[in-house]
Amino acid sequence: MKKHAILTLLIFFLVSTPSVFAADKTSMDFPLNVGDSVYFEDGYYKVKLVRTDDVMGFAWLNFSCDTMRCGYDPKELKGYQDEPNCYPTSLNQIICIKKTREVTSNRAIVNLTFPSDWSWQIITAEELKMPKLVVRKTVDKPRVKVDEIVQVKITIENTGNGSATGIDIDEIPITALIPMGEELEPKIRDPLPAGESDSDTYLVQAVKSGTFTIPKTSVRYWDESRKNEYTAESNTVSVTVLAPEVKVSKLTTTIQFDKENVTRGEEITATILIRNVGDAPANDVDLITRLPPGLELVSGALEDKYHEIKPGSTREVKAVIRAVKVGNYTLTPRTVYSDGETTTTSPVIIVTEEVVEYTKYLYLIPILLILLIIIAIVIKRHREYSF
Amino acid sequence: MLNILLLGIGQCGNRILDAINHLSLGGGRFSKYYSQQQYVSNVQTIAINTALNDLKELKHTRAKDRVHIPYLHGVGANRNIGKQCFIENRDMILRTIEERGNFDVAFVITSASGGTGSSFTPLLVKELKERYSFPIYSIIVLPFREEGTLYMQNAAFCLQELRETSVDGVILVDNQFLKQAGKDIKTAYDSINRMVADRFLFLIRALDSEMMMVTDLGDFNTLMASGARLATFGFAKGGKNQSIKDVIKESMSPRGLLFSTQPYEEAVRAMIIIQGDKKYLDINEITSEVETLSSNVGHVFKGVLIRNREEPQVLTIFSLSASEELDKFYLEAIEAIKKEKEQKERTKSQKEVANDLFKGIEPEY
Repeated sequence: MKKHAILTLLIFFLVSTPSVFAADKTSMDFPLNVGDSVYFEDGYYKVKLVRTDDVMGFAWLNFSCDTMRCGYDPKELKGYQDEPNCYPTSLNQIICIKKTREVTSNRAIVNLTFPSDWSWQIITAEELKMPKLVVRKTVDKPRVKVDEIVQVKITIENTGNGSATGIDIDEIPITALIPMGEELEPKIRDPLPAGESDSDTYLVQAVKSGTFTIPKTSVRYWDESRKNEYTAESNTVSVTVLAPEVKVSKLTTTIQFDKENVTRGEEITATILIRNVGDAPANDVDLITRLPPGLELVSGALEDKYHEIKPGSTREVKAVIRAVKVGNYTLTPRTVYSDGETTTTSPVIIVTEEVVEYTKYLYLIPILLILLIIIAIVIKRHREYSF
Repeated sequence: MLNILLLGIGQCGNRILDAINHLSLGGGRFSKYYSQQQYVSNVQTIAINTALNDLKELKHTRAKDRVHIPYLHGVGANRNIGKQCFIENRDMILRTIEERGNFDVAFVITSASGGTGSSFTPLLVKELKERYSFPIYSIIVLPFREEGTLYMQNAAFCLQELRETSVDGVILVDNQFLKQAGKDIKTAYDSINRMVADRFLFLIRALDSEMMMVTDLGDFNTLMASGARLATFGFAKGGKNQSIKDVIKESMSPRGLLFSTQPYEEAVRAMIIIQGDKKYLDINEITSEVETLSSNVGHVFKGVLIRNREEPQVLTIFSLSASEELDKFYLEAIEAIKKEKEQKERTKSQKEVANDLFKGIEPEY
């Protein structure tokens, strides 16, 4: 059964490939301008002069066949004098370029070998009308909330030189953005003449939060002769769907010191601010601040409890602390509340030993000496007059 | 430079001595701590007392200049005890004085009415006169008359005994005469002490200064040797708009004198020492006043001390031949002695009567 199937396919292939196995071949010179094509068998096979190199005498030719039927990929082959190149392969030589001559910057005479019974026709670049569609996809609102509707617009512009016909638009929906109403089939003017554009829109409704990508729009179309089929794709579009608003409290805690560089024994005023920047009251707020060893509390408090802090409200806690040991210290006030907790780290308090610059007190020496002399005189006098 | 010995005996003498020392330091409250004594002369001051507390009260007299005679706690206004005390401590007192060196003149300041001062002074002057040749003058303060009979008789006997010694002169200061000096007793005493100090400092400054018209210690000795060897001071300080003539007159008025006297009638010699900026010292006015005075009292020693930018001050010293006030004082003192004697006899009589009544009677229990 399997053997019969293969045989049937082979017969079909041979029958559908005109003159491939024809024994007689003929060679012919084709004077071509860049962009001109030779259509064999009514365009079943095409050979197009793509570009030339007049210095080296090269000419590049694009070989292709009906993609729907022949199954060979297009191929670009270089032609040169007495340097044959064949399509689709060197083993399966259906059309060969034997040589090129009189190569100029935009023209060459190309000698092609092809089955003798094939018809042929030169199609100039002017005669070859080719549509080219450019597809763009846009949305009116890239950020929406759940349940909001987004308008998706598909714009198709024909930038080619031939009208596009049989335009088939393939739009793939996604589950997060459900199309509204009818089926998802955008309608574009068909045929679409060269140089013109058209657009269509459809509506989708956001059903869940997240960031979603609307896939590319695929477009298939034909030229006027309906012999050449083309495809085009649009860009993708991202739409962010915001989650429904949930009112929660959010506390921020900051701590500041009136001075950060102190000497041992000096006092520092610490100010802790708790602010509710959320949109709901924060309940059961508990401020916890542990003093590191080396700092001691003099007055005030670094901890407190609040039953409620309303949105936009601020609570302030002040304390005077004393540096008792040399070192670098930070405080990390932690605020625990109904909707979460927050911890902040204070600036670094640098505690150093007091360095007394004795030199700046040198002027006191004579004053002290004078005072000592005065005191000595007073004591001496007092003793002189004490009985 | 004169060498002057200044002795303050007893509470009153001590306080006047302290006031002199205070003024010599500048007179400020704390001047003893920063100032030096500004005596022109070499002045040695010694405060002598039997009462330790009196010595302790002194503020401007050096501790080494305070001599305590360790005898009970004062002699209790009893001159007999005081004399006994002096005799017992005489050597110590004299040795203390001797250690201070040689002197050109000595002043002994005391109250005539108290215990220590009134009893020590005559004996001390006598001892000093026997040992030294320098003149010794005594500044004697007479009591308020109402202070009591004991003080009156002490003062009378002290003054009398002192005049019997060979003291070179007694300068009288009368509390009774000066009692208007203060509203209360303390202010009055302080003011009197200050007045005496002012005059004394003026005197010793004048005796030891180069003057336009000279008065020296010799003049002073001559002055004090005149008459009854009694004298008193007068003093006045003039204002900018006051003529020197008025200042001289004021110094001789009751407001300026330390003892109630009639200078033109009772004085036999006088000394006028004028000090101040020369713009205040009108020679004609000075001469006129001196002539007036000398026409009444005989010789007048005069000295003029030019002190730039100082207002005029005048010190007058009168040597008295007699004193009506002193006579009155003696009479009052005799009355006081009589009264004291009568009281004593009455007490004795009462005691004898009581003894007679109790004769032969024994207590029964």
